[in-house]
Amino acid sequence: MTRPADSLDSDASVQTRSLIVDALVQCEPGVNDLPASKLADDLPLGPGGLGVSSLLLLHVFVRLEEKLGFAFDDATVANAKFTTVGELVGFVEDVLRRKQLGSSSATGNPAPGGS
Amino acid sequence: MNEVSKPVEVPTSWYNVVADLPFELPPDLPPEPKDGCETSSLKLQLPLALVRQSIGTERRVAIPAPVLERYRAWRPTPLQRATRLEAELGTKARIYYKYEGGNVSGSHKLATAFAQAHYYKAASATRLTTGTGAGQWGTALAVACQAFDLECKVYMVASSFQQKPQRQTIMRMYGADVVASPSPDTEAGALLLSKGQIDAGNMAFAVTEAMEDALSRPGSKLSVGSGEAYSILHSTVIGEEARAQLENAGEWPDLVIASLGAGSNFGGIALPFLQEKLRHGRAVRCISVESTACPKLTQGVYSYDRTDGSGITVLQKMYTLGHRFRTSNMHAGGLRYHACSKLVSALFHHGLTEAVAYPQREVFESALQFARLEGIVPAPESAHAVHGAIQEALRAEKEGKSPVILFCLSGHGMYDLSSYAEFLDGRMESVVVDQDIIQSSLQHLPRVTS
Repeated sequence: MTRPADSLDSDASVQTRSLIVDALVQCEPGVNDLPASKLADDLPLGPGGLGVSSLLLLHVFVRLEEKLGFAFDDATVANAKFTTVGELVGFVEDVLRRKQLGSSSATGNPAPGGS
Repeated sequence: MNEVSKPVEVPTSWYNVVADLPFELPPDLPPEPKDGCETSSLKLQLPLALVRQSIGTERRVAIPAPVLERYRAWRPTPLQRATRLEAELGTKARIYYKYEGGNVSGSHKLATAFAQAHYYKAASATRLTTGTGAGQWGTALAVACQAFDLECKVYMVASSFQQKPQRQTIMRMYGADVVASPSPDTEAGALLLSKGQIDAGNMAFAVTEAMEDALSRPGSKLSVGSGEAYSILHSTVIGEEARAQLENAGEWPDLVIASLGAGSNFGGIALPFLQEKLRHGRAVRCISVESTACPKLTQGVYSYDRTDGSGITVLQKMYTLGHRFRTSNMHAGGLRYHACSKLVSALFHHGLTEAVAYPQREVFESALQFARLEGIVPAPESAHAVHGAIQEALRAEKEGKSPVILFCLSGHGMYDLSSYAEFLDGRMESVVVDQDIIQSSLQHLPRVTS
């Protein structure tokens, strides 16, 4: 199912996509022309889609950490599955949700720092 | 041996030179697209902690407590003055060396191996795979994996695998599974073996096999020991210590010299000194010594290339002989990598470091001289630094100068006695790579659009 981001009813989801696009542009200037609204859920992150490599995706996470002010948990990221934009957005939203609820399970670390 | 006596503490942080660079490092580029790629989930190989360290700009990075505890088992390592060598050379130069061979792996590689094992374990990895040349990195990773309760699989370049059977043994003692690369354990290796290309392996191919292995097994991750920015970062504990030790001796080096494989040894000792040059304009020449059999800085090109042979990893701008370059049968297996790390390449490109290349017979002559005078058998890789230091001391003498020279004796050569036997028997040949071979290899560099 292709679902453009601008059809979502959640402002939070649009904001998350915007954050992800900003981080992508920061890591890979080649995606400079990419509007957040074009990030369909089923768009593949890798070959055949955004063409993002696994290393670039990790860079995106680090840039997201800088924007969000906290560090993702290494093990949680390492064990997650990232095939499509939707999975990436869902992952970040889930972490943000848990963060808001005060759960430590998804985002254990307070700040990126130099661990 | 003449150890600089006043003790220093083990540093509690690593030094990140990126904080002080007067230029931006070139960005990595995505791998070349392949036809017929199917959509699949991205398999994240690196812990986020190592990515943060690779692209971070904080000057100091705290060493995690579990890693520091491991470091303290053998650090600080000794800084010694080579007084007998100075006397033999008749030089007024004061020659110091930082000895990194006094741990179970026998080399400097343990500094990043323990750090990487810690971070991979924290990211829930259960098994690490790697490629190794002479076996120093493979041994270090085996030791670190055992310490952090991780399985370990090592793909060792076939020529070294045959030359250094004791390396296999010590890796196995620490629980690692060690195979010669090309191996039948991966599709890429089996393909080469089916063509009878048993000797076609090199470091890039060993890493390719390790990557294929890691991608095929849940919980397995690829770990590499030299070219990555985080490997260099972890190795700066060596230069941090050396700087403190020299300060205690009232010295500052005019020259810092280390052998160059991909960059962790050279960067590890040189960058903390280069920091003083970058931040305070303090004079120091940092000289990397490579082999004429694999002269990436002195004869390679500064270009985007693959970091291994897999074709699925990012392209990095670096000095390279081309990822298809096959190193001749040289004894310093750890200097066999086809390229130099992005970070060290950029430093060289911007004129902040220097590079020289020497043939292995001359290098072994210096190594034997050093062993007889100072009582430590240098690893063939480290012998390049010994030779470089001797050449600089002799040059200074001719010029009437008396510099302070620091070099990193990055490992011992007790697993390399067959190489020394070959030298003593007069069977060793100096390998100087043919220009045609380099040019042929460079034709396969990936095409990159700006």
